[in-house]
Amino acid sequence: MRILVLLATTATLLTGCRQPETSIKVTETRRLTLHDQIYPGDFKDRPPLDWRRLPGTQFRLVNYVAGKDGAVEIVMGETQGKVLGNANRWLGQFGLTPIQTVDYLGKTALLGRPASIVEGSGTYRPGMGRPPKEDYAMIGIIRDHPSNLITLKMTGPAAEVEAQREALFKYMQSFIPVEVGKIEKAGGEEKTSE
Amino acid sequence: MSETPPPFNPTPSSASKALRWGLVILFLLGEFILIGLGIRGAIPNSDIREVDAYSPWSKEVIEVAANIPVQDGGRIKPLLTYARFKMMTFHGSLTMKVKSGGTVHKIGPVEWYLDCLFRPELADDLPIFRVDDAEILRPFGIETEKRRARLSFNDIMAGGDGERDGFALLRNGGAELLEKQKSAGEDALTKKEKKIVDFAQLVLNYTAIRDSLDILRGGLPPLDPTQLAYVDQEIYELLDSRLDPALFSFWLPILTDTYNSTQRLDTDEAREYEFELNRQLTFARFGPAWIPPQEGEDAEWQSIGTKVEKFLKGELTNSVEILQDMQVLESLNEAAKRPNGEEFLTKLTDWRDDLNARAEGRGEGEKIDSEVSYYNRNYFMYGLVFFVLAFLVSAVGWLVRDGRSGRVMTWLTAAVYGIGVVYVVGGIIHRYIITGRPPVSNLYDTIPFITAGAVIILAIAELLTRRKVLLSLGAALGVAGLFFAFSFELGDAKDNMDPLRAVLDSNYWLATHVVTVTIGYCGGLVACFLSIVYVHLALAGVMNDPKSFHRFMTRAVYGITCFTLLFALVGTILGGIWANDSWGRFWGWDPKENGALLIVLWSLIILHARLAGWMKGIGLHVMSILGGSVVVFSWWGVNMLGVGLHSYGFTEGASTVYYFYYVTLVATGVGFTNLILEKAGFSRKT
Amino acid sequence: MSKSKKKISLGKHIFRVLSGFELAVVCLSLLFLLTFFGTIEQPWFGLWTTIHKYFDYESVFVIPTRGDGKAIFLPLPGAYWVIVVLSVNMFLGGIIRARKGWKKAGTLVSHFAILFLLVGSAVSSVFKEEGQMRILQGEKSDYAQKLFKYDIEVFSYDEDGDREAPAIVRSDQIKPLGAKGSLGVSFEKFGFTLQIDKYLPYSELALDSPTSSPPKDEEVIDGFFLTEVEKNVQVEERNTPGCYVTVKDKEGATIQRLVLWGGNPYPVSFTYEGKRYGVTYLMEVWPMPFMVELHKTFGDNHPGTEIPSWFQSNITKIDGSQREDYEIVMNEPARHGGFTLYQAGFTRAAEGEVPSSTFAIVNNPSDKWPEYALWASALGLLFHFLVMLVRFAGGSRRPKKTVSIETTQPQKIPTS
Repeated sequence: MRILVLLATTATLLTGCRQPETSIKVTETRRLTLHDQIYPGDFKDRPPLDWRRLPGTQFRLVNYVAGKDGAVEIVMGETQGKVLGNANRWLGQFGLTPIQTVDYLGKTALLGRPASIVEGSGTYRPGMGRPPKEDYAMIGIIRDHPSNLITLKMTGPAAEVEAQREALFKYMQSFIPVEVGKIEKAGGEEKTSE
Repeated sequence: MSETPPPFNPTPSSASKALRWGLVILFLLGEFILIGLGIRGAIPNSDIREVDAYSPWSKEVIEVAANIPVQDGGRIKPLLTYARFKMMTFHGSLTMKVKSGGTVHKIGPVEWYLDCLFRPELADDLPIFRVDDAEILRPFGIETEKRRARLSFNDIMAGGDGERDGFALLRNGGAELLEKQKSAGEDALTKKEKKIVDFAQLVLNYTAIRDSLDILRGGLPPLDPTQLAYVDQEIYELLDSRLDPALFSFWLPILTDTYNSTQRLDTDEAREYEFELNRQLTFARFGPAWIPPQEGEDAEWQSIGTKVEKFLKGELTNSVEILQDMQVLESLNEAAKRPNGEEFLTKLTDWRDDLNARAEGRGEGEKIDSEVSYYNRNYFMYGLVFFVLAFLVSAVGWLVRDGRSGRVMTWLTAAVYGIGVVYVVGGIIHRYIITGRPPVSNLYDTIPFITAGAVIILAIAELLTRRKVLLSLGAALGVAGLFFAFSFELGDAKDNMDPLRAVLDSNYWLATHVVTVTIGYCGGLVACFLSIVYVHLALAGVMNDPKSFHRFMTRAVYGITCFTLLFALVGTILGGIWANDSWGRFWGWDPKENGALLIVLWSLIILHARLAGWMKGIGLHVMSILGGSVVVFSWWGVNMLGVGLHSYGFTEGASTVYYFYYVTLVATGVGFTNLILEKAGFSRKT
Repeated sequence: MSKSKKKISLGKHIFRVLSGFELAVVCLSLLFLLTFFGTIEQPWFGLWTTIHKYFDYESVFVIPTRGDGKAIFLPLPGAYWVIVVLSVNMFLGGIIRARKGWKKAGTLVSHFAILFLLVGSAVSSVFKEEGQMRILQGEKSDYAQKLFKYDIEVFSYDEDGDREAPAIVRSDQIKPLGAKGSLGVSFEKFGFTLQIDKYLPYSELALDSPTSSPPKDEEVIDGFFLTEVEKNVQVEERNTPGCYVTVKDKEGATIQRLVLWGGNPYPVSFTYEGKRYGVTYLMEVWPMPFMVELHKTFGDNHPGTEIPSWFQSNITKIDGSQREDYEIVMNEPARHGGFTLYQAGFTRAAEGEVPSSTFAIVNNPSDKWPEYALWASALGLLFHFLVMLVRFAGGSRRPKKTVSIETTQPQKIPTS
């Protein structure tokens, strides 16, 4: 009996010798878990339908492209320093004069804190060896924080950036902080053991 | 099944028999010594250095110092242990001989460490550094007579290129090589260069030890406190004018300001002072961690330097205690100028008692005295001596005929052997008492344990069968095993009683799995050595009753192989259960696991081959000899691979392991010779 | 062995061979060699590669090689199959054919126990599931992830921007592709299809920039491209796969080309027929039937050292409405409902950060079998050897020299 089972298993295993498939139909799924609620930066965002999300990088928490041929970039990141320094850096990329104080910048709010709006247009020189781009524009928002600034910046051909302006601000307002997986304190009593 | 032909046995005549006995013993001893060649390091150097000003510490001082509690490696241990392993790393041995004024003095670890702490200039003259290949020091201008030399720090300083001293050159050379290694990777350095880096680090470590108590030696340049910008009248009054301003303790009350101040007065004296202050503080961190924590602090004991640092950061509540400790140590240092005077002994004793009391108050340090007595009793050394005696007595016993004198010799052998066993087992038990852990917790522990196992197994076998050869072999293995224990400890130079990593620190599984597998190793080795002895004796044909001897030895080896199988198999499965419980997988084909499996498989092969009729007589012995190599591969060889979870020890000493393989190969050759002669029909009349 | 004149049937002959000691010795010797080579190759090729080469059921023949690829021994059969044959032999020979009787009880029990152990291994190799769950202190989790198995998950977003249940392309389907192969994937619940190609098992995702530009014909998607890297044999977890994916509509026209990399924690997206979809390449998510809350994770080092002396996690396991507290310590896992949670690792927190704990979760039906096998085999062997020891001690004493029975031995000259 045992031998038969063994032989049968052997046969099936050996016939499982791989020939790579060329096409399959997927039916498998799984239930949702807390893993499906993770977001970079711990806030949920709801981008417009025509924005496409790209992989994040070390400097880009959130990375979208939009517009024709994905020429418009919408990037969100965290950075150090002060609002003024970052604003001037961005202005510098368009060859614009640096400003002396953040009072010149438009104000809004991002994730519950005050933020400044920086805008610019012209020839965009991103630096780091990349070629300059003519007739580009930028709308950026810098959220103030004592240690950790959050920046949201849209860059692209001037016309397309303008077309996406409303979408950008609507996107900014769509953020909802999420605390995935925090243990709820049920009625003030949290289980702490020694 | 046909009878096995009787083994090879020449026609006896007394002269040829005596000759053959002699040859066999020589051959066997030669093989044993060959294995020992790999562990040459244990043999101490016979050079005696002339050190003029040396005067030894008194016995009482050494005794008191030995018991001072120190925290190191995660536990509280006596200064003796701490100094012992430190000396091993530098010196490769536990004694140093120097000559002074015609007398030869033996310096042990405690004395050497006391010299480092309290007589640093003298310490610099002591030949503490062991160098195996002095060639590596040539580029730094350091010359020696022989290749294997013992150097003092001053010898190293004496080198150099005329501009800079030898130490500076060595330090820079080592740092450069280290940089090269960091940027270009592990393999960027040649073997020689790696040795230079290691040696430079060693010398640096020595200076750290030596300078760690500079903080007590005064030596701060003279400074009028009012020269420091932050010192006003109020603060000035904090300074105790009764104290000596050259001492560190004088400045303690205003040390925080000194340390944290960003203002510097632009005078040379102030700058010189602050430089020396910082230097002393930096080195003081490397001193012995013998100051217990204060109330409410972490469990860490600290050196006086670390304590002062914490005080400066404001982390300590009781700064008075530091001041007191520092003053005690300063006066101790002062008294050390007359090392064998009453004052030093009294102050040292007070210091030790104070530390012990504080330790006791924290419930620590109960085992200090026990540990000192463990090292003083030197169990394994005495065991070694008695096993040597037992071997010699048993050798005499072979020459004596049976009868009254024969029985006397047997009892004498048994008695001396028994004392040896008591020492080995006693040592293992004492270690257990000190550490509270099962007897086999790390690689070092396996050596005395396997030695004890081997000598006990053979003693039991002797009791059951009354064959003298077993006791002789047991004594020889006792000598070999304990000798190996010493040389491993010296080479490893680590305190093996220190606590284990959390993963391994589980007493139930340790006691069962590790002990069982180690007993399995023991069995495999005993069988191997029995077979080695057997094939040599059989080839030489020196036994009176070869048939019975053959039957006996074969059954003994077969029986011990079964014993090995039992323990190796059970131990291996236990290891799997431990692994499954700890990290969820029973078997991972880890090298150490594979090693144990190899022993199990080897034993199974022997047993089943015998049942298949393939392995009668000599074949069994040949397999058992090779089985010894399998055991050594599993015991040591897999650690040398540097792979896997079990790679936790012993990457040097590879030569010993290879010598062992070589010896088993030779013995296998002897066995095969037996086999061939047997098949060729050289059976003699019995 | 004497040859019997009587012809024995083929079946009986096969049985004799399969149950014989000779086969046992051959199998054990082969296993010995395989274990030996499977050990010494590890420093060159790493643990996982060597294990897969020697002990995986997929490897039928093995040639031991050294680091430079040169063969150091003859080809050997794969260890898995040797063990299969050995098990057959053990069963037929050690249990069926073996002599019965109380004296032989020990070996019978031992053989049975070892067989049981081996069957347990086979069971676990098929049915065992294991993964890792990492939780920050003060947080909870209801899933684990299986290391080394990277799935592609495709899901849609609902109007609130939340993810919906994904469709999963399993790693076993992706792995065989290799860099040249290509796999078409259609979905039961979605209208679009995917074409997966250029699968690289060891890869890195790089940004196309003046300082890091892709090799000549490397495909760059949205400024990203995959490069192949050398396999990390020391730390298998660092090996990250990557592949390219084309999203196609019902007619087969390309909607979007994407690059997927296992090291990206968050999905990329595309839009199809007015709906937003996410694609992610990640370690297989293993949903747990319970939630684990980590209240506290802590441990300590041996004082004055960096060596951990112990570490522990205090958790609550929530299964529906049942809540149960556990303290998981190193070497003391928590077992509940077929799942075992081990404290696999923990990270202490720097100032202002939160410590985290990593649990290994294993679901293994044959978890306790080795323990049972151990006791049985130990007792069996012990019994067997005691029987033998008694026999040995009886017959090995040195013959007493009172009466000379060796009449053929010439007289010894007294002075020797």
